[in-house]
Amino acid sequence: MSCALSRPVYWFLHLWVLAYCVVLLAALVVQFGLGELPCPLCMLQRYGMFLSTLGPVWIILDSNRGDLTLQRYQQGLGLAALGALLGAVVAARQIALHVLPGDPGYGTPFLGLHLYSWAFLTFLTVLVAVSGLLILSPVTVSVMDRGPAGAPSPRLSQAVLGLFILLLVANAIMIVFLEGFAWMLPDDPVGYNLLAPTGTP
Amino acid sequence: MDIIILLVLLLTAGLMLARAPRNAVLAAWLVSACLIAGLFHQHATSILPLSF
Repeated sequence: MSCALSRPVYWFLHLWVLAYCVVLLAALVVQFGLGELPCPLCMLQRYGMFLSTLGPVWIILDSNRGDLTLQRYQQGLGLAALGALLGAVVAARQIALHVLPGDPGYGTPFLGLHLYSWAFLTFLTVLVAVSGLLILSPVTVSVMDRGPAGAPSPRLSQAVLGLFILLLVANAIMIVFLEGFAWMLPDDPVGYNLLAPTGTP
Repeated sequence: MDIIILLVLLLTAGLMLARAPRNAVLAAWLVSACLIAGLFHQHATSILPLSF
């Protein structure tokens, strides 16, 4: 059985992907603009964001093709929730590492909170959003014999999805330079390993 | 390890774009999730080179 998303939910999913694109873009700006290299836990939180966002991306892609089923919609939201949970655990770990009084934390705070604290809040927001979408699914998703093919605004939809893929590729290229030939990132990176190896494991 | 994780994430996105079978997408997603969880476990349990 195919299904169709209501317009608000369809665009909400785009907004969700776009919001994480902005966060991931901001992380790259902090990295390259302010020269603050990401620690291993920072990178794991980025992976959590990618992992979580793949859920709505899958739903949007299938919806645009007219192939969306209720099962796929629920699976996409499940992937998003699991990815967010994984990211939240990593962010909570990093918050716990810097929770002692007097600890300056890692990196520059933004609006009073460090980036890992913001990341934790975004993961919580995703979990709340997934819960809301599942609770509202009887109202916002209509089941039918054949889903409507084609996106309401194909160019806008493709632009959002394209930006997400671009950021994924950009991070993949960046990590090759950051990690170099090392198996893992150093706990406190000081440079790009591929350009100036620091002898990390 | 991080390079492998991002490549698997890219592969998952590629499978979604290529309309691959549902199980292939889910398997790729699960592999990347397991790799991320494994790397996190490694970082969380490794001994820090601290000296006081």
